Amino acid sequence: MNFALSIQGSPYDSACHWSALRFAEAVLEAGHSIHRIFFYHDAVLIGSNLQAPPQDEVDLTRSWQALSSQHHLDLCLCIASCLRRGIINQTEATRFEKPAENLHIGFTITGLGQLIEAALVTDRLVTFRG
Amino acid sequence: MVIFSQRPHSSIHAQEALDAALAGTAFAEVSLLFLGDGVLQLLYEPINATPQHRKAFQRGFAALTDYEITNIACCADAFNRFRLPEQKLIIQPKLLTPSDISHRITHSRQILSF
Repeated sequence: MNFALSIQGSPYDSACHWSALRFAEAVLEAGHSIHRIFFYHDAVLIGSNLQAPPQDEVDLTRSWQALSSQHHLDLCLCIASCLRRGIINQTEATRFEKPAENLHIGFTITGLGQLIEAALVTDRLVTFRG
Repeated sequence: MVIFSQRPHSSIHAQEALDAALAGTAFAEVSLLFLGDGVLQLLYEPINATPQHRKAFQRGFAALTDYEITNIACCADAFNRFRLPEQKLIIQPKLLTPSDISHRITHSRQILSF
């Protein structure tokens, strides 16, 4: 079965990222595929490369990146959510004349159409809210 | 199908539901369903009544027909509970019973709920 995940909660305020991460691991382990993982609303904060959680806690950004590298997953961040929350790549930093970019390697800033396309081409869209 | 279940200015979800509906028309036929407090989004809101921290996004509902979104429905129970005056509606929805709603949800290819 082909899955898409929509993750909407804040990374460190809710359990939704952790739940989604474990779900994704279980899906892949069971032999299914994941077409896309779409981060929406506060969930896009996961894409910042400036986060430094305590060393004895899970680093969710690195966990997503590791899973993505291993399975070639598409980690997409909603652009409207990103711009409101200060998650920007070089292109947006230039466009909005910001002093720096902070998008973590492995994540892509995309439009809402990527969520809709994923919903249409997959067997299941599973949403994780905060 | 895009489901609107939040009241207009309590969160950004209502605004993003409309964005998703309009974006969705580039990919598929889109229908709208207003449930619970979400039916309050159907009310016309004067521009100066919009809270300053929120965008007056509801004017975007007027563009739905331009995007060929004509299948617009709402929960009849919620509609009647709030006693929404028909002359103050931005758009005229079709009123659905709980079994109608269940049928629509069951037969939708995909649902985005806000």
